Amino acid sequence: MIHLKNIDKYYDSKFQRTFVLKGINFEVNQGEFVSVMGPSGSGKSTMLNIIGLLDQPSAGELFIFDEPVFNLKEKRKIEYHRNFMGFIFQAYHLIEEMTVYENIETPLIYKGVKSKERKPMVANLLDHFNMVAKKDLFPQQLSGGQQQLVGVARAIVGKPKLLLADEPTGNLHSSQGEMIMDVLKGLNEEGMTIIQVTHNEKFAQYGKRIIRLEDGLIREDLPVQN
Amino acid sequence: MIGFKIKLAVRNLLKNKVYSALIIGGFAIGFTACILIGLFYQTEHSVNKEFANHEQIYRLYDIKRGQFNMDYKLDLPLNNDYPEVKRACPMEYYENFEFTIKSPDNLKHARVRKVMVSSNQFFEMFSVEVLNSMGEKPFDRNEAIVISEGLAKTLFENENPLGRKIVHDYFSGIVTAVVKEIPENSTFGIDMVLNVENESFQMSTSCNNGKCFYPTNLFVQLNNAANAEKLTSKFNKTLKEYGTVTDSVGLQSLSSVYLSALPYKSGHRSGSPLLLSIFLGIGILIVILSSINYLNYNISIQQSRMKEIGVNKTNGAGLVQLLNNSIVEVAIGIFIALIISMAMVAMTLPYSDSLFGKQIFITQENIFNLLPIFAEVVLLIIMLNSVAPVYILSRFRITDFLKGGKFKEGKQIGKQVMLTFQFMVSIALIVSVFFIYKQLQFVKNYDLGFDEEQLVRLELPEHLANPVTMMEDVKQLPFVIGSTLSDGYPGGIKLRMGSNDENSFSLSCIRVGEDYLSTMGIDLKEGRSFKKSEGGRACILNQEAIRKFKWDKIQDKVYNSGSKGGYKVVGSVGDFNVSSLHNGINPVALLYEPEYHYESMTLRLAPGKVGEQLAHLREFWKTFLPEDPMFFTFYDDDFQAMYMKEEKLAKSISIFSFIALVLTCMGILVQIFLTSLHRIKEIGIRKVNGAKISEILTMLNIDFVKWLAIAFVLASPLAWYAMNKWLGGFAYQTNLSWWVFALAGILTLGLTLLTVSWHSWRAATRNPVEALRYE
Repeated sequence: MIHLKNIDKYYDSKFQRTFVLKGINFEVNQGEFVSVMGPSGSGKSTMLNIIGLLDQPSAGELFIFDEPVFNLKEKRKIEYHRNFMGFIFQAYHLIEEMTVYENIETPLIYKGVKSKERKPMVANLLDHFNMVAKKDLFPQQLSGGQQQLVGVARAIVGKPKLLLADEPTGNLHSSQGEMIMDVLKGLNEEGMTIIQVTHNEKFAQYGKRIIRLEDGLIREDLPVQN
Repeated sequence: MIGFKIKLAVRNLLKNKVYSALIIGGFAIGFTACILIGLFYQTEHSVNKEFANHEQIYRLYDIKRGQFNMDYKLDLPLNNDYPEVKRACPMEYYENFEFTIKSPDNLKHARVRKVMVSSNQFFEMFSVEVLNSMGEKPFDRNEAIVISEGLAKTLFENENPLGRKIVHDYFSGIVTAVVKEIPENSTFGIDMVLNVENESFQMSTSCNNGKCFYPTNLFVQLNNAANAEKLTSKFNKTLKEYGTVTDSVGLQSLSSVYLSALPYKSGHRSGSPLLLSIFLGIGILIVILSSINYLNYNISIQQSRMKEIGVNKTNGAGLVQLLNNSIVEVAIGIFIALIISMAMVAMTLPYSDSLFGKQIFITQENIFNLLPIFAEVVLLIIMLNSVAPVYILSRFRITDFLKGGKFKEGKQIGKQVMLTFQFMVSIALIVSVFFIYKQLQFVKNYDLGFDEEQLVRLELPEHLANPVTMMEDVKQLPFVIGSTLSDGYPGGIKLRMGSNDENSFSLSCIRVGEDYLSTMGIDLKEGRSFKKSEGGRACILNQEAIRKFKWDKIQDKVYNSGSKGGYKVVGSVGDFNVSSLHNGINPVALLYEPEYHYESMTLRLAPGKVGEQLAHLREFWKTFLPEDPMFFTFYDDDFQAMYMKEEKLAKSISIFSFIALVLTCMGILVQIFLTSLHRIKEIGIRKVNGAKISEILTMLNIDFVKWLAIAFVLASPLAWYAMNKWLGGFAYQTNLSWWVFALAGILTLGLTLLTVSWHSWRAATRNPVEALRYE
């Protein structure tokens, strides 16, 4: 489903070239749940941003469903963002001026879903996450875990095939973190492909496969053993 | 969808209540000023357009002689010999003189200014509504006078005015019709229309090589099909045949009489095209200033919302969606501002008189003409304000947005250029206001060559048998220090005569009686005052006249004018001034004529209660003239009034400059608000490392001071140039002193520092822990 071929990412300064990623090669199949681990500065988030088409690789090729997606035009990228992938962020990145309901609804609006159809879709999710009572609250009025739950709901409301999570539990304490990870696991079991970046060894184990990065190189790429 | 966006936009506005209010309020103020100026502009351009036939009416002007007045004899051929001309009428019109008229039946008086001498055609050409008339036409006899409704009320109250007699010192006539007043927004009005066919009503004569004629303006109304240009050339081919002094004419349309591009003298009211363009310029500047504030605010707000934009982009928002959000938000702010400014316009409209020196009207025509322009301006501002921020932000990558706080501010040259521009406008306007006031003070306090304090002038009626006795008797009053008689006076010259020598220039002449110099407080520079025996044969000149004559000494000199062998120059006075300083000092001759039948009596009063003095004067007046009301003028008021136009200009320009200054301050406030927002972490770090509050304040202020300095350097020559041009309109000018520029600069600097420090104080005194807590 996703194929990275010799992906490099580097920054040129006056006298030297600093590599963030170097010669990254790997493939993610449909239905997989991949955890990317590594110390700070190892290039995890950069890799995720490249997969999420938020950042350009300096060299190498990226394929989604065997289609090359590097050097895409802005318009095509937006198409992918609308229809193919959803994002979850460490800092939730909810829009503060919007209520819970409106935050979840946003991607559908961009997708061009009609108002009549949006309502049941958002309502279903709210119901699924037990947040119906909170739908008119603003993000600041929620706990961190609940905010991230809204973040997840927003990421999946458009029924993406791929969910990209950048340290989804990074700002949460462990019990809230577990709740979020359970939700992600459930989604994966329903067939969603997920790539998460995490620092947390325990939460990494929720995935089916762990990729360890170090200094921009893949050190280890092993399935999770139970 | 749109409802949702509006809801969001309102939430955003409410989030930063203070700054939304500042920005929207500022925009509302700017827009109010602009709408008012627009209405003023439109009003000035709609003068004379309320006449139904205004598109067909033209005024003739004599190209060769450079004036509007021509021989009345042309009226008849214009009416009869040209099929293109539907009708023509003469129009001798004055507004500058006051006529005192009397109804002999009930002894009531009225003073009227709007006096016209014209024919029956006038009423038809200008669609004047005749309310009441004796004959079929308003003028049905030779001595006919038509009066306005208002004058009929004053003179005859509720009695029937038709057939009643009206008397003036020089003419008398019978009221034959009462008409409605001319619309206010015209270059002329009518209190009284006199029948041109009556020779005693014709108020002037013009002589040329011994041939005299009655000069008057001529108006023509063309047939609908007629072409003004063709008619003009036809006139120029044929007008010679009528044997008048006029052989080449031009046509000036009625609607351009008010803002006339022709430099000829005219009795009609006139507006100043220059003043109008100054106002228009200020209006445009104000809109630009408030748009700059709005734009700056919007760009910055969008920057502080980079995260939101980033999130929206990862959720699949394209440029179009981002733009839509932006447009809705900007449009809402602007519409709120518009509604506020409409209310403010409605509130200020009644006071427009003191703002522009002219009442502004909202008419249908005004609105229809202005609406599209304003709609375009509003649309442009909305587009600019929504496109610019989105355009700027679209250059960043999504990952930059999501990093949030780490957004680099960069140089932001654009913002600083806009700020500099605002400073520039403010400084230039402040400098201009200072200089206008300085010049006003200068001309008002300029030595007139006589002592104008406590000096009052009474107008004596023609029928007063012996003015000299009255003048002598008035001295008996304890508070009258001196009295004298004159024909003409400083500010109202009635006689001009040529120099009658090789220098050929014209002198303003005042015929004076006994005690003129002592009463007026004029100091003799040379020679002596008049002797009793010299009546009609002696004169005193002012310095300017002597300069023009190129005399070194006045001994044995004679001003060779008049019919009795000229006036011997017995003395000279300093620069005695008889008109406003726009024109400079004229050569003046005081002609000693003790036997003349005078109509102006000048009294010098002792300091004291003016009200009581005038009451006593009135009693005294009754003993001589029981039937006539007393009309008086103080000389100092009279001279102050000459600078009315400048005073009004100064007032309105200072109001608009104040608005510009307020807008600039708002702009600074918004910028410093956002700067301190962006630099909150920097401030925190600096404080943790031991920076004092004063150092942080300096750091935040220094940028603004830098741009202010640049603005000052740019604005000063601009203001200097503009003021130099404006002062060119005065013969006597105040200095363009450097300290005025410095003062304006310091004033703006002070305001800027105050505004910046007011806000940055809060940023600087905050606990740095708060700023550094979040990463």
